[in-house]
Amino acid sequence: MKSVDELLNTVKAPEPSEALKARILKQARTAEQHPVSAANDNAWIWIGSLAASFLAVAIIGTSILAGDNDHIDDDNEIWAEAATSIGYDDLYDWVYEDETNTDR
Amino acid sequence: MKGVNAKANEKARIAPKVFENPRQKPDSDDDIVSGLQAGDERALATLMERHLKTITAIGYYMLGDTHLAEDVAQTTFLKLWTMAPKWKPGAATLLTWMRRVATNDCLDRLKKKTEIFSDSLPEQIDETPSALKTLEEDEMARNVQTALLALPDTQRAAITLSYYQDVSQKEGAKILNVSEKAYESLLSRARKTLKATLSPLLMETVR
Repeated sequence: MKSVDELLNTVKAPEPSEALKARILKQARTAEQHPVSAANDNAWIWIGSLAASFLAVAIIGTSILAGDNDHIDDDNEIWAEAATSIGYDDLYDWVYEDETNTDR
Repeated sequence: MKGVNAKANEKARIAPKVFENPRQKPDSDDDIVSGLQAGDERALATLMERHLKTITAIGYYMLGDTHLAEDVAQTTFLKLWTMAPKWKPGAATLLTWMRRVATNDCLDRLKKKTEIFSDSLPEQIDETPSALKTLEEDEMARNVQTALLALPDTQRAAITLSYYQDVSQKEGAKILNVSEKAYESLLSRARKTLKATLSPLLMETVR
């Protein structure tokens, strides 16, 4: 009785053709090799990206704070305009008028 | 005594010097890595002398086709050639790396193409006794190869690496990027399937 291993051994991969080697060498002549980067490049890339991140965070933070102040100023102006338009001035006039009549 | 010393010196000269870590497996191709990195074609030719047959065999057992197997070998060697300047010794041996590239290439090709046709042509029948024996052997090999090709791709890859490439379980797991336990399971399932499929052939010699 044969074993699985013995049966597997009946399948033999053929020898690669002579032309294959020549073909690979020919292709290798035209293929470009990837150059190696300088030894410390990776460290500089890492430091650079970290610095860029800090800078971006600083710029975003500053612009948000500046934007908030503008927002406060805008709000005050809007409320002042609204108060005028709904007649606060009239109301004050009426109060002052009333006080004057009472005094009399 | 002089002869013994000379032999020891010769051994020391031949022994690779880079294996300072005793746990690290020596790479038999360390002598040509610098040549490959420098773009020396002779180093590539030497590498092919050593491993072209091994890498082509992976393609053949995985795909069952000589031409496709040669394409896989070509892709693998050219990939190594272009990546050589970036190669860092110590992580893996060149051969393990090439086996991994070749196996992945085969798995990719199998994913893309559902059916791969065999390139073997029908032959004229020679009826002499030795020729008949050869025919029987060929028939058996064909049946075994059909059973192999019917296995799920990763199981076939595990069988290819363990039986035909004689790689260790650890290296096989590394090549297929699975745990050793998963690799063991792949092998075991493949063996079980092959045993069932090939049972008529396994019993043949008893008759």
